[in-house]
Amino acid sequence: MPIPRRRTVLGAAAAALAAPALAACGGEGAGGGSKTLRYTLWDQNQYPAMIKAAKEFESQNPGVHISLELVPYGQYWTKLQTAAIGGTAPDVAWMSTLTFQLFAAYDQLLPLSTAANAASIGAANYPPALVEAYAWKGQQYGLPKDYDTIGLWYNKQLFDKAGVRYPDATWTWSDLRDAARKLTDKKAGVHGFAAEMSNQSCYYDFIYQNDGFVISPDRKRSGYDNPRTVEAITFLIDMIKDGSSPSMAEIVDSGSASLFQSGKLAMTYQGSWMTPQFAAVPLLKKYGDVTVMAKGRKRATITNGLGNCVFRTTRNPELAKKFALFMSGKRTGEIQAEAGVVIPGYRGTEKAWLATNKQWQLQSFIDEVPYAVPFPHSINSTAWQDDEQTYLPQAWAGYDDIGDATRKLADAMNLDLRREARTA
Amino acid sequence: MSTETNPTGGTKRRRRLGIRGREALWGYGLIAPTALGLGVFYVWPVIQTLYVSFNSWGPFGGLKWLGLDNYRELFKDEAVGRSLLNSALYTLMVLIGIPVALVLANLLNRRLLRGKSFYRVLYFLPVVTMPTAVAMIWRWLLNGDFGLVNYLLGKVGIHGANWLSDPNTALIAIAAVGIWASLGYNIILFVAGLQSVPDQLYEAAELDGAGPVTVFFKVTLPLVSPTVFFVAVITVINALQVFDLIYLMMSTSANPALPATRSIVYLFYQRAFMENDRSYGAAIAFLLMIIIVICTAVQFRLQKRWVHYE
Amino acid sequence: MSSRAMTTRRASIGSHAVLAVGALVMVVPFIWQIITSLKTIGESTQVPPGLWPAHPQWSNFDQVFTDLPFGSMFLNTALVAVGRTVAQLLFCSLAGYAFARLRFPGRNIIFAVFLALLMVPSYLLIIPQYQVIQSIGWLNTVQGIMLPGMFSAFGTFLLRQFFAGLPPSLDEAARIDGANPLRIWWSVMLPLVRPGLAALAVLTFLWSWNDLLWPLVVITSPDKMTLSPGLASLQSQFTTNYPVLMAGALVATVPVIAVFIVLQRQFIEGVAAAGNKG
Repeated sequence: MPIPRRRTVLGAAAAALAAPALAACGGEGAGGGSKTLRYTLWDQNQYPAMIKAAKEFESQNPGVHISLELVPYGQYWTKLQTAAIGGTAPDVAWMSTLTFQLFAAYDQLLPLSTAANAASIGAANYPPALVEAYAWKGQQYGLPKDYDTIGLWYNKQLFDKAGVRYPDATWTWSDLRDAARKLTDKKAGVHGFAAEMSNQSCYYDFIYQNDGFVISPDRKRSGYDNPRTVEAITFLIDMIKDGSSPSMAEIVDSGSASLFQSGKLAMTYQGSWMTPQFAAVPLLKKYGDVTVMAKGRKRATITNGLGNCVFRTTRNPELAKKFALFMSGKRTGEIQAEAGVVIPGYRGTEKAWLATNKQWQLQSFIDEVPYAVPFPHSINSTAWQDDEQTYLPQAWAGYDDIGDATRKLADAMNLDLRREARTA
Repeated sequence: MSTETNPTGGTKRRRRLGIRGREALWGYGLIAPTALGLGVFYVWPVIQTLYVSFNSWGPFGGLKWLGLDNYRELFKDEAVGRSLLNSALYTLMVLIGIPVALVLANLLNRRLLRGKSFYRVLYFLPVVTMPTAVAMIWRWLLNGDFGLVNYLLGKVGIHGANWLSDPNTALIAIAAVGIWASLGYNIILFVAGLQSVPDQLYEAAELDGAGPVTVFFKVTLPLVSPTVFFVAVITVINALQVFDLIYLMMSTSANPALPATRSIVYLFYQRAFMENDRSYGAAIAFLLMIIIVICTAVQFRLQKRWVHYE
Repeated sequence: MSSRAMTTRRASIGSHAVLAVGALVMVVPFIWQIITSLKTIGESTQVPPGLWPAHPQWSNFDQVFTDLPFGSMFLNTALVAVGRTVAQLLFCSLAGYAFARLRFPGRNIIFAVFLALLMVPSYLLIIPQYQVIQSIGWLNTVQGIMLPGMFSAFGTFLLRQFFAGLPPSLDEAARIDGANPLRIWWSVMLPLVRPGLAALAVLTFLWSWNDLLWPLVVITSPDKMTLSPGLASLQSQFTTNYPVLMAGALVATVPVIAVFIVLQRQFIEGVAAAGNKG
């Protein structure tokens, strides 16, 4: 297990017995004829668009075959890592900003620049926050094929009932808090807003809107002992305390999206990725809408997006890079936009996505791009994300004081970051 | 195993080996396929992993000798103690499922029961129900505001908890689901065990005028005790390794009850796979293995008191 | 005599009552799975959930078949499940018989080592097992999925218990007749542990049918993939179309239930056989 590509003794003996069965796996496309690229991805919802784009690439590049390998998200990273250890990684794969640094820092990926595209790989056409997220040590390893931002979704029916003005781009935190109070109707089981302990689509946004941070820009320090960070968390927990948000227990039991879909929540912060699901709910199709999030000390939204990255072990690096760029490029963007599942990463291709649900102000998600912040991450993000899951819910549920919980969290996270710096 | 085939050398060898020796050779021969398969695919990987636990191991391989550092770390890691306790508590609770399964299996095995096959299929259905569906419905049943459990409790004047997010109740709620989920498996095993009990023994007992309860304790229980022992040992081994169920029930959102429900294998999975520290994960796994070995050894010691092999 | 008939009937009514209530508790999630498979996405995420969909969405079942290459997945899954089940029945019954009825030096130690293998979380062994399969050159093959699961410490232990429960007179008699252990295993012992074999077959088939991580790690080509990873891929990172997922799971479950129904006849026949010889 430990050393990559070292043959085990028993394994070698077994190999001798089964020598005829030794088959070249994956199509490395020997010689000049056809070449196969293996492309690994995880989202069933995006699969049709990906097939369509891959087919176009095939027709533009005669003799090239793209083999799409759909892996469930729950097992995706285990599968990729196991394959990388065995030297059987795909040529191109989806990467998330959360895991990108792990693969880059351990030298598993190839930079996208080649002799052919040396001048530019067109990074200017993408949301800057995500271009930055897929860069490592001055090299660009991926470009976002899509991106997401977070919006303030609301239920107009509940606003009308409470006589509250609909939210818009002028809203600040205090507007949000006041409206949440007015919209809350205990008897009807309706809450104004979900002050949820959900990172990307709630408290991270509040932290950056308050000029706080989760992790320092040099990724060496936790932001949980920063007063602005603690203030943002306190703002959210206060909304639970004054009853305008469901309690943590209620959110654990029912989920904020379900409460919103069931008319029990007037406002909620949810990602652009919820658009297709909300569109399948008649109530929201009729009464739902979305606008930009309320402004704190400043405006901010967390953004994330998937990159197409090339693995070091590919036999066809030039072709693989070309394919990775194509799958993040303009034409793929248009195909993705028509499918309506995600916002394409390539600037200007989002029009068809906006048109999928004309009843809502989906433009709000795109308006947020200029002040978007990449999802906080480091090489081993999951280690300190676990610390968050251990300490913060105690504060959210009222079992622990906010100051104590964030202090403990900051200590644990700093320890993890020190360990990360040692091992990387 | 060629001792039987060679007519001249065979007899000589047979004599030299004696009855004992031949029986031993047969023994080795019959376990050989399993021993070889388990050796290559389980024993060898376990040995490799044991070696890894004394090293640090990068996310993509690359060993560095650490000696006992990972094991020292285990005793400093607060989460380890807590998770072990959670696993132990879960295991104790899940043991309740064994007698329940045995009683149900006994009913399902009644000779004169009509619709026996139909019932058996119904009792098999939980085993084939998709885990996601199981988690979904139980999350709804246990929902603090809209759940059936609290609705029924409300009828008798009890205000039910937010079962899955209250650190005092979450593990109990999960154990209840665990018992439910294991009933189907255990019933299959018990029915098979009961089927091996010859009918004549029941008939003889009934002719002696013994009631169903007496028959169960005097005839049935001793005769299925090897199966009961098997189920008990496997239940403890599986319960100490509980992970998927807790993950499905708890991972949908941030939850204050997570520290109170996270099992040791959950922690192992988190450290080894999510946080990419596989050598530390391996150390956790071997700590767990030692604990399970002790529990199982104790069960094997105690079996002499209650398990009847013929 | 009539009072005995009465008690029997009363006992039987009592049994039905207990079994019926138990069955209800056991079956509800399965029924829930059926109901959910007919809902819209919106209905499936409603709180509190509706008990019945306004308009049953049979199209969810169509969608499963367009989303997944069900035909090839079925075939691969069945091949792997049958291969593993047959192999385990053979190997585990041989080993279980040896551990229960033959004496040989080191028997208890070897058995203890087998048992110890059950005590390691299976996730831990994925990478070394992958490397063994890789060195045989069986990555991305159906036999590569099948191989490690053909051997089982669980099955060996289970059948050992069944063999151990049989009366010692059986093999003594056969041995006096001059039969060797292999022959005794085949013609005397195996018929008597049929219920145990049936139970192991059901459990192995089921386990193999649901096996998720291993096939995923070994297989890369979509045409060699099995059902369980296919179903898992219907669960996305953020949102899941639960109705389609449940519909897929239901379709995938049908063969397992069929196998159970067939094998449970074996359970019943098992009684008669054991009864005659007991």
